[in-house]
Amino acid sequence: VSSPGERGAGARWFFLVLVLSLPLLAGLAGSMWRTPYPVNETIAILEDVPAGTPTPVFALFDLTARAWYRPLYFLTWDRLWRWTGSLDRALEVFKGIEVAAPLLLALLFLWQLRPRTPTDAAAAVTALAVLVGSPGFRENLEIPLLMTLVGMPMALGAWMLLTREPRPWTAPAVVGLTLLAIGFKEQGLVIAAVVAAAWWTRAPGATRSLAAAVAAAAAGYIGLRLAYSGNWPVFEQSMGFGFQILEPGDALARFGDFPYGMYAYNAMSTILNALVAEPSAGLFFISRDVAYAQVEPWEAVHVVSSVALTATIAWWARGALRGLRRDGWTEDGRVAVALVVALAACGVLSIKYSRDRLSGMAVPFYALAAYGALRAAVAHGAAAAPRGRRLTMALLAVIALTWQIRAVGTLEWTRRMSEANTVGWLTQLAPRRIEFAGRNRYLGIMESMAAQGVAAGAVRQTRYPRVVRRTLGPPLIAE
Amino acid sequence: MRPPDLSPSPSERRLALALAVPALAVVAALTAIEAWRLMSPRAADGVRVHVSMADAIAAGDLLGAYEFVRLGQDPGAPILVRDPVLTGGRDLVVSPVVWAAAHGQGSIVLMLLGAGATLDDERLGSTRCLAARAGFAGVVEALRRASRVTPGPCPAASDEPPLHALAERW
Repeated sequence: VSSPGERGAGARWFFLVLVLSLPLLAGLAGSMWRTPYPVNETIAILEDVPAGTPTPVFALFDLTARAWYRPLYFLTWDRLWRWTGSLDRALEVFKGIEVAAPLLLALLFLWQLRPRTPTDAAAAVTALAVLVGSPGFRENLEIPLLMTLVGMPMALGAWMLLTREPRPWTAPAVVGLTLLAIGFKEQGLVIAAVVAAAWWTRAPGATRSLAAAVAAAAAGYIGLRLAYSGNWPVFEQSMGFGFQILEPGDALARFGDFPYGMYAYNAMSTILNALVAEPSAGLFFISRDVAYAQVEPWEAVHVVSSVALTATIAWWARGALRGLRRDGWTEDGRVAVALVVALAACGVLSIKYSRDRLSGMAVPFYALAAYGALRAAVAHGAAAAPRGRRLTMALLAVIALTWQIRAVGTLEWTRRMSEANTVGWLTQLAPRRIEFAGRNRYLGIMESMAAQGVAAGAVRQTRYPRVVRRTLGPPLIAE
Repeated sequence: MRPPDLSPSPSERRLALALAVPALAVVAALTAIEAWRLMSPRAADGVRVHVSMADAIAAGDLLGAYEFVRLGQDPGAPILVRDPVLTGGRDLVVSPVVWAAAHGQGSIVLMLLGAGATLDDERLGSTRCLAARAGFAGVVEALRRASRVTPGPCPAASDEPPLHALAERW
């Protein structure tokens, strides 16, 4: 039990970190709120929502309809549309959820870290930058693709419950979070893997019955999905492979007889992207740019930040696991195992195609591990000889600086996305009126959404000097 | 019992500063930039000011051209233009779609058509030929996607400035 003095010091550093995080988080929330829905995908998604059609709601739970299964995502749209009585209002409420999810994730994350000292606080602000700057976080901010974005705080929430003393409601809450996340997207299964990791590492809240219940739920879900997997294509979407993009047809022709090698490649691509920022969606384009000596500043920032931090995490995890026999499972050891398990699960769930966003469910654990690793590096460096201390300081400064740049890059990415969405509405209305002339529901939704698509208040990217723009991230639209 | 000493050693403080200083610098910079964005959003967003829709189109500024539509200008209403090559240095009145096509601005062509600009079939065909002769494949593709007109053969180019044949009467 902490003393009032310790609690006071803890609260002080926690609130300081919160205040320091405010400009980034407020900017992120404001930018997302002022981002118009994109013309591509959104309308096709809304066309599948039963509201306003004779289609019964339970059709959303039909396992045979598509290769992917996101009933709660579509149910959310359906309920919002029916409850608000208008598409405009439903769009606003949905965007509110989309903005709230990353904020909730950030707040839960800081709550889990509970910085109590200046070192904790410094590590926490950097770990938050890691959370926000990770590609798995950034790419899930894309409106209206909410599915993984809601799963990420659920994964962290489950982890918080698992690592605390169990309460009567811990097991139902964790099982509920797992089912909710799975209902939004298959990636929710990562929570089941994390629960297994927590049980294996003897986390206080991960009781045997809880682990068994989550395992049964996950096995039931996987069994049901596999039972209706007859219509699943071997390859679903385009895939990066080395330096080229393979369309599903090309991939089928090349790897159709034995697709498992390609599946392993996709899984490893997702994992490696989370760890070392390369490849991206299976494409080694930073390596290509290195070969042609045309590396962009943002590419250097991404690779240096990821490699330096992952190496530090690997060093820290080795230390955390080395003391296992002597001390038993520690909080650090559990986080290290949860990170490995979550990354592996993200890899398995992306075997059909790799995208940076598919590592999203592992991002909270990567950031938690970053926090532990940075604190350990500070303690190690402080006890080292002067030369070792200087090297540690340089390493920490590089990690902190590059991840802060990446976090700001995420903020700017949402603004670039907003501008790209506005351009999309301005340039796609005329062709789509012709292309979708026979689909009245599609056209009706498109016309009713056009006003938000070209609204004057949409956020635009900040006109930074060119070198700053090239450092913050890749351009989404032509400059 | 006295609470444990949580204050860091000087070495630890210096190492923690290596993490904190970049964060503090970014917080300060972000706060200043966000304040600037709030106080002068148009400057921060890099909004360019154009005196007319014709200027915005000639500059290839899609969002700038749309600002005129947003403020109420009819995207199909003819506009006064002048260009040493395209109009031979004379003032002409042409449709904004034609002006955008003559500048190779396929995105602006699509925006204008999406915002309600219309051209009759003959003028659409002539505009397509104008873009094709100038080598603006993007404009040709934009007109193909955004209109139902079947492309016909283009007449041979004359010695006149390109926009003379497409000028409106006024």
